[in-house]
Amino acid sequence: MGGLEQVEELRKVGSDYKFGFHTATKYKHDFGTGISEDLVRQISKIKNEPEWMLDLRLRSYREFLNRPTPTWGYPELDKDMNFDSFYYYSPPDSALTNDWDKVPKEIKETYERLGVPEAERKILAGSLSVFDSDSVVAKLRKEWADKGVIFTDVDTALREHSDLVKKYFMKAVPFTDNKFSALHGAVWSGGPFIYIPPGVKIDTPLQTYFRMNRKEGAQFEHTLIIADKGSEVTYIEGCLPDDELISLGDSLKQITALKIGDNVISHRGDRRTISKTFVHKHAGEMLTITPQSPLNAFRLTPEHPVLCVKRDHIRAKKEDRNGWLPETSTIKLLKTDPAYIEAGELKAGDFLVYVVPKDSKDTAELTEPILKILGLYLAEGSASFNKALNRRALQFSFGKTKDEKALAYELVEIIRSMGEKASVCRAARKYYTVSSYSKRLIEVCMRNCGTGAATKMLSKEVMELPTEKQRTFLEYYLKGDGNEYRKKKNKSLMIRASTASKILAFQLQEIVGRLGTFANLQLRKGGVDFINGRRILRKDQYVIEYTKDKKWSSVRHRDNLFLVPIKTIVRHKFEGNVFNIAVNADESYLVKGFAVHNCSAPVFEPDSKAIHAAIVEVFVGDEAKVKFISAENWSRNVYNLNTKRAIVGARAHMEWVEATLGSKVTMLYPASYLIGEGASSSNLTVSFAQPGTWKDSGSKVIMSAPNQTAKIISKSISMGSGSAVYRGLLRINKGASNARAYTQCDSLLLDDKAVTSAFPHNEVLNPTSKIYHEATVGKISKEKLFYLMSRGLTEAQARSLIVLGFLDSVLKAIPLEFAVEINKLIETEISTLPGATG
Amino acid sequence: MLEINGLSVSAEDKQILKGVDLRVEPGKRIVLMGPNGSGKSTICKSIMGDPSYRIMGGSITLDGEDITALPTNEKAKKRLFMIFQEPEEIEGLTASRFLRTTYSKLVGDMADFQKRLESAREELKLDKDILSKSLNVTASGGEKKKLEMLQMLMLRPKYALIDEFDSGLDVDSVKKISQLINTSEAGFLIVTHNPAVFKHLKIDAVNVIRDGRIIASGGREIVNRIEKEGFIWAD
Repeated sequence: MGGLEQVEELRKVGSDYKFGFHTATKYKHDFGTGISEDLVRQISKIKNEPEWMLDLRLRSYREFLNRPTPTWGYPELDKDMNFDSFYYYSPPDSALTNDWDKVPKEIKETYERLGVPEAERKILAGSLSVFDSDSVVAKLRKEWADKGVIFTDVDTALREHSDLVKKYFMKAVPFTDNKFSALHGAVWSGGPFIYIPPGVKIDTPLQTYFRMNRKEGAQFEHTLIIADKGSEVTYIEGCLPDDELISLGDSLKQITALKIGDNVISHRGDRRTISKTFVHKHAGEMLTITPQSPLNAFRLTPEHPVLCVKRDHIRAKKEDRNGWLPETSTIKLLKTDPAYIEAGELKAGDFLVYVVPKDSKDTAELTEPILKILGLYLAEGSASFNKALNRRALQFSFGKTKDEKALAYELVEIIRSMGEKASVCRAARKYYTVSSYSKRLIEVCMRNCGTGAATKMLSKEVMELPTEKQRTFLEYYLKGDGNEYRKKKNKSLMIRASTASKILAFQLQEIVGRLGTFANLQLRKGGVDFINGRRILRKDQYVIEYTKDKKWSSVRHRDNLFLVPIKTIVRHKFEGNVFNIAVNADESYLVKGFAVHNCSAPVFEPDSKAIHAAIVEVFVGDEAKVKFISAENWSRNVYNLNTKRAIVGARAHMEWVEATLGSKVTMLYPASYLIGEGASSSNLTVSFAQPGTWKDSGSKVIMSAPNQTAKIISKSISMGSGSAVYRGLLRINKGASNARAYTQCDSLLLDDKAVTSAFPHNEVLNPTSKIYHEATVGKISKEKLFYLMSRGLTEAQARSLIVLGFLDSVLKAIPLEFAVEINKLIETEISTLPGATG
Repeated sequence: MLEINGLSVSAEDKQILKGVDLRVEPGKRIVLMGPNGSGKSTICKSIMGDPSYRIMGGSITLDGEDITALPTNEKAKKRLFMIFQEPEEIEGLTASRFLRTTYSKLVGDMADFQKRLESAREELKLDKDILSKSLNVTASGGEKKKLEMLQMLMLRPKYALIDEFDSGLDVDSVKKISQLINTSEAGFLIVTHNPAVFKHLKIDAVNVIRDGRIIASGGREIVNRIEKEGFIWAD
């Protein structure tokens, strides 16, 4: 496919995708769309900035107006950039705080979904979160703050450390650099500021998370890192996807995050493919339908057809009792075929159809002992990093009762029976803790159950296991988290478990459904509690409850369906976007397990675009070391146009590790300007051009003093209509005698449609220098696939292994959490390739 | 029993196999010999389901079940294994991770994994370092073959197809591997063009293939004759 066709394809795909969950957030100021001198002045005024910053903003703004959009890189950039359509400044209604509890609830929810506080507590020396325009939380461990390390946002730094900011701000990347750096200079907002004093070496990474919430949003955060002489720091920039945690959930992906080609379950319980996604504006009535299981409540527009059995059609021949719903005949209910009825016609007491997916696939790796461990991990386990041992550890915490003790010892036996090591210890003569350092177990647990109490979720493999295996899994989960009690009313034996993970609750409901019982889900609200005088913040708990010996009296079971009565229907006014999808074959999909019709022909929303034009400036002082790690996975309407640059002093080292996924267009070329004698740099970039995306990336190194070394490794993967371009510049100036540079540029094409191209550019002005250059372009050959398949792997699994092997050097260089994320993403993307099985 | 009945196979519109019949019983070692280009490698690959070859006629059954159209990975799950003449190199995928993955797919229970790996590695005198390197990438021809054998020993297939097992191996290794095959309970289809490899190998039957057809079958005497006269005698 040629360049232009590629672009056409990209346009088509781009207009079909809908992205990410969107949180209804209150913004402090709303300036609408578009940019003007007035807006630039207002931003500066709101932020109460010094005169020189306003001046810089205004000069940048003028530069922005005068500069043309670059004509290289993504060919359609100029055409696509409608600068009037973006929201340039949208600070959330919250000032910078260092207390997570003070962050507004909806922002907190968003970050919880992304697993942010979890990560922050566990591994990082400090972290800062940026939500649209402004920074929200900054945290730095006390030990570092005491040594003079500064980690805050640039706005705060401008007030508190103005000399430092003035000295370095936009000195590595001047606003005159390019059109987007000029735009950035005019409207920049938020972003981390890091200062490491001379000789201070921080051994755990500092981290920032970014999230773009506004649909036509724009994010212009400024990162300024100053590593003083002889200091060391690793900084991680995580731009996580909106839908990251939801993407693997078998039944619970956000509708806004669904895309064409994704699989959903139809009302028959079969797996069907989405052929279109829609979003349209809706102003009018909205219904919240709450079935007997309250957490399964869902919202719908009144004209949306829902699969149901009307109570009126199945009434028993009994007199109505005043104030009671008419009694129903079970025989009639089970005989009547559910039909689609517009939601507006539904009444309390009508029966909705809860569908259990039919897919069942055994995974040999998930043996009985592993499932027992997974069950207990889900209930009691956590994966953490043991700093003292420099190893990852798996821990299971049990209570102090006899039963819990027995369970702890049983677990140790199970782990040992698999040939792995485990030990049990009793902390403070109370709780029993089982620990294992088995890499294999940690990997299996993280892959199949995730991490973090609020974000644990089950893998597709577990969800699809044959019922016998799921029973084992559930049994051990309940041993850990469940309890039994007798219901007073009808004496049935109830099983109840609770979890902080909403997705997990729905997944457990599905598993219990597969095993033949309908489970009720409800929310136990979290809040502040006082226990023994101590203030305890409880998270929301999702409670799953079902009977062991009797089915829910009002729920009927038939084939793979449960007929569940509606408790309430609430009508309210709504104004905003509503979403829908078109599904092949069965024309239906499940909302929280309940079948609805896929409705026809809502209005297409015009292509929405968002821009991310950040600047990263790093000043690496003499003999200092900075490692900058960035894993970006933006929604697929984002134009990701960043300028990242480091100025590297004598005998100092700068290391860039960049993984870019997602986004519609990425143009990104992290640069190191080696100015001091003996300075060195390393660039490791990987880009994944998924279908409909354009990844234009590479590295830039300018060498200008004696005895410098540089290493550039670039890896790209492209699939479908994705296009990966390598664009690199290596310049060895006259003064750079004895320079050594190594560049390597590898591309992998996953199918025949994918495109890759490379434009390495080397300028050598010093005859004593040496450059080594290697480049490869590879395809996944059918011989390799055949070989791996002959060892029991499906085609999709074989492809993933090859791709992950290709990326191995990168995956090793980034934090485990990101590696796991990239791993998942690649497996998900590859399973969508045509011809892929499994 | 692994049974091949009237197998016709073509690649790129050229017919390579023209109705081949073969039987491999568990515990038996069946040899397939023939000159270059006779179609002997094609037999192994098409039994295993190489997409480069199209099966035009005939059938492959495994213990009575027709597996002709089964995907390669499903065949592997039925404990059919193939030792490749030239195993593929996979950059970035360490041999140990590969072994783990394939073991978990085909054996499932990982309890014995480490034990089996260690004993197979000792048996084959395979350097431990090779496990932490990318699969087959820096390995010598002999090491690649040993890695293939290692997998076979660990996965314990019911039937194994061996495509030229001796290439790249030194005399001692050929002897060792022959002994391992002699004591295995699996049924073997062993393809080779080199009669010298049978010095240490117990053989239950020999088939000679030429131009896509089996032209002679018998016992060890055929090997002796090929050794003396080459493949010409069979014409």
